[in-house]
This record gives sequence, structure tokens and C-alpha cells, in this order.
Amino acid sequence: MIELSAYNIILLLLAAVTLLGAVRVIATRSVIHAAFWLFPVFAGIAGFYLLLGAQFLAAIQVLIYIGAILVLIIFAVTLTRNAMDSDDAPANRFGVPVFLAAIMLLAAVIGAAGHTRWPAAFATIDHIALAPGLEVTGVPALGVTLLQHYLLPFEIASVLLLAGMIGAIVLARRERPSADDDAPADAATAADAPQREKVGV
Amino acid sequence: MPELLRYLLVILGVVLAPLTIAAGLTWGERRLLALFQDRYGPNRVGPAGVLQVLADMIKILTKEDWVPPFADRPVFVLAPAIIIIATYLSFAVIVFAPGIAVAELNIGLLFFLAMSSLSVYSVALAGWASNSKYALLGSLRSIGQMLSYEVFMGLSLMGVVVMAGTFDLGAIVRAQAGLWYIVPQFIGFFIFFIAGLAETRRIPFDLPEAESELVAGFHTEYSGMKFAMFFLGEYVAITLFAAMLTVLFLGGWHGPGSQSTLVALGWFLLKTLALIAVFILIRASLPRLRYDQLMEFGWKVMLPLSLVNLLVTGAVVLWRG
Repeated sequence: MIELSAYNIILLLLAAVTLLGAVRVIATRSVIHAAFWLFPVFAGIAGFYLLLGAQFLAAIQVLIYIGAILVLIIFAVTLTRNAMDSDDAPANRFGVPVFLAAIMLLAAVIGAAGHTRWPAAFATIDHIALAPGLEVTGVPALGVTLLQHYLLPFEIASVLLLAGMIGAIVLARRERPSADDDAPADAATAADAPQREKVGV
Repeated sequence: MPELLRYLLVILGVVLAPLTIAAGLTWGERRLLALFQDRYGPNRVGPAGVLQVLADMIKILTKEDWVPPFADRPVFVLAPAIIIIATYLSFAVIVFAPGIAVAELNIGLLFFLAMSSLSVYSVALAGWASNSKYALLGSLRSIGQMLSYEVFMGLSLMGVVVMAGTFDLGAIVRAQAGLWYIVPQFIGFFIFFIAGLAETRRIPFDLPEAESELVAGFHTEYSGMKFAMFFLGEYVAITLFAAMLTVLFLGGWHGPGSQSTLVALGWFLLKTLALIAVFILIRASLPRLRYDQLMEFGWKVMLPLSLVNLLVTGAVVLWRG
């Protein structure tokens, strides 16, 4: 039986909110409402970071995941046709493989969680040794850890993101009809052009 | 328990002050705009027209609270609340005078950035839930605009963080005791000011509600108190940005004269109100940008400028040890 301390009650509430949101994300038929339900999921994860004393990570989680990624997801969904009244279940041919992948990911996460030394209740990140022999604490510790002890993984992640960005630009530019070719024959293509174009109008 | 009482008073003040300033601005902005444009402005109700605020309130509260039948009702109702919540939460970390703050977080600046990134939801959801093409176009514009300008709004403040060595707003103000950061960080001040204009969707950047092309943009379908919440939200956000500029670049509560809390609060209020007046002056003097101009200015001028500012600041701080 779990001890009913304030910490555990908050933890359970956060877990309930996060899981409820996650279930609604996959169970909701309307695509845009599914996107809205991601909000409690991301907010709940920020709450977990706060409980672990990682204030910096919690703020970054809100800033990046809620403030940017989810907004862009909603932006993209709004641009799709009939986002308002698409009540048919989104067809998905990848149900079984995705389920298997999710099970594998879950196993990996449980394995990693078992090997992690978790801080005591309401600890702050200052008391966690991020890397051996580190003398600073708090946000500076995060910076030193990333840019000294884990410099190579950090740089590899940066290159990966850069590659993703260039890939996105290449994909977005490919379908665009050439600028100096706006003959009437192109009218059909112009209508099918990426809806991104219409945003600026 | 005087300590608890003092704390409750601070909370009450932080809740009431921005709302009072915002309500006053609904009159003050019109009077100032009229002054800049050689008109009278509202001057009939009460002395100098001050009671216009009350008259507007009565009018707006007695209006029909209409939710269009084609709207997504829960989202439609939620959207105006979000802008007030998101801007108000940021006031919680602002340090107005030594010891006068709801919560002095050591990540105060990041908290502000995180909360201000939430206010885009208000506009995005309002436009989408209205299920009308003008509202949707307005909300799509605002998402693009606010996301782009948030990027270098955060970057422009990193120069201040590098100089003060902390995200704690109180410590940032204390670090400006000798020299206000507007002098060494002038580029950061300039960029943050413009980003503030874009985030609050004020006139050179008011494309999401450009009335000559989009009726009223994202709030086309809103009326009554729900519309008033967007309206008030904009003024609260202006007050928030003016207060943040004061904290980060204008030395917060520092000023000549006695060091008592009351004088410190007075300096803070004076600087904030002066910045708000500049916001209004800009509205009176600039035309609206075109959307492609807005995006080009953001990504091709402001972003490189804020990166260079951060790089130079970092280099100078390292060089001086």
C-alpha cells in the first residue's frame, strides 16, 4: 500500500491527469480534440519534473512542448480539410506494429527506471550528482554536464536536428510551382499547392 | 500573524494593480491617442472622461452573451479565459520592490517565458472554435507571428541572463544597482520591446485582427464580456511587458531618493507607466505591416541580431572574467 503523504497524493493526481489525457488523445475521434488532449499530458510531465525538483526542466517542458510543439500540431491540424467535423475514426493500418513498438518502449522505460537512483521526496536538483566530480549545482550544473561530460551526444543531437530542419525545407520547397510560371494551365496545381501558402494571404 | 497578512496584501495588490491599470488604460489609451492625433477623445463622462471606464463596463456587461451555434462551445468559452490566466500567472514572479513579490522563483525569467508562450493558445483556440473563415485566418496568422517572435524574445533576454548570471528576477534587478542593463544591453532591450509589441498584437503587428481585411480577426464572433476579456487581456499583457522591461532593463525599483519600500514601488510604477505610454505612442504613429514584411523582419533581422547580441555579450563576459 502506498503511503498517503502529500508528495504521493500529488504524484498520483498528476499521473491520473497525464494518463487520462493520453488515453483521450488516442480515443478521441475528432483530430483537433485529440490534439487538445495532449495539453494535460505535457503539463502533467512538467508537473513530474517539478516534483523531482527539476524546475529548469519543468519550465523548458512548458516552453518547448506546450508553447511550441503542441501549438504547431494544432496549427497543422487546423490546416487540414474538415478538421471541425471529422468524426470518423482515423483509419490506421499500423495499429499492430505500433502496439508492439509501444510495448518495447515501455519495457525499455521500466528497465531504465529500475536502474535510476531517484531523489528523495521534494529534493532539488542541486542535490543530485549529474556527473562525477561536478562542483557547481543547479542550472550551471546542467550546462557543464551537457557541454563537457556529454559533449559528443549533445553535438550528435544538434546535427540530427539540423538534418531534420534541412529535410523539412527540402520537402516543403519541392512541391511549389516555379515562381515565374503562372500560366492559366497552372491553376489546378496552384489550388493544390501546400496550404501553407494560404496562411500568408 | 503579520507575516501572513503582509503576504496576503502583496497577493491582493498583484491581483488588483494590473487589472486597475488595464481598466484605466481603456480610457487612458483613447485619451492619449486623441492627444497624439489632435482630437479630444472621451471627455464627457465625469471629470476628463474618467468615468468612461464605468460606462463601458456597464454597456459590455448588459450586452447579449452570444455563442454562435456553429461554434465549438467548450473551446469557444475557454479561449478568452486563457489569455487572462496566462498573463496573470506571469505577474506572480515579478519582483516589484525588495521582498514584494508573490513568488521569487530562481527560474523566474523562464517562468515568464513559459507562461507568455501559453497566451498563443487563447488566440489560436478562439479563432478555431469560432468556425468562421475570418476568425480562422486571424488565428493562423497569430500562431505564425507569436511563435516566430517568441524565438528571439527568449534569445534577446539571454544577454541579461549572461550578465546577471541568474534567471532570478530579484537578483537581476539587484545586479543593476550600478548600471541599468538598458545601456550594455540596448540591442536586447530593443528586440524585447519589439517582440513585446508582436506578442501583444499591437499596431505595427496587429495582423491577427486587421479590421480592414479580416473584420476583427480571431475575435470576430465574440461579443459582450467574452470580447471584453480579450480586450482587457491585451491591456494586462501590455502592463506585463512594460513591467518586465522595467525589471530586466530599467533597473526595476532602483531610483534616486530614499530606499523605503514605498519609494521603490513608486519608481517601479513610474517606469512601467512611462513604458506603457511609449507603447501607445507607437500605436498612434506607425502603420500596420504586411504579413511577409513581418516574417522577413522577424527571421532575417531580429533573429540574427539577437544571436549576435548574445555572442558578443558572452564573449565580453568571458573576456572580463
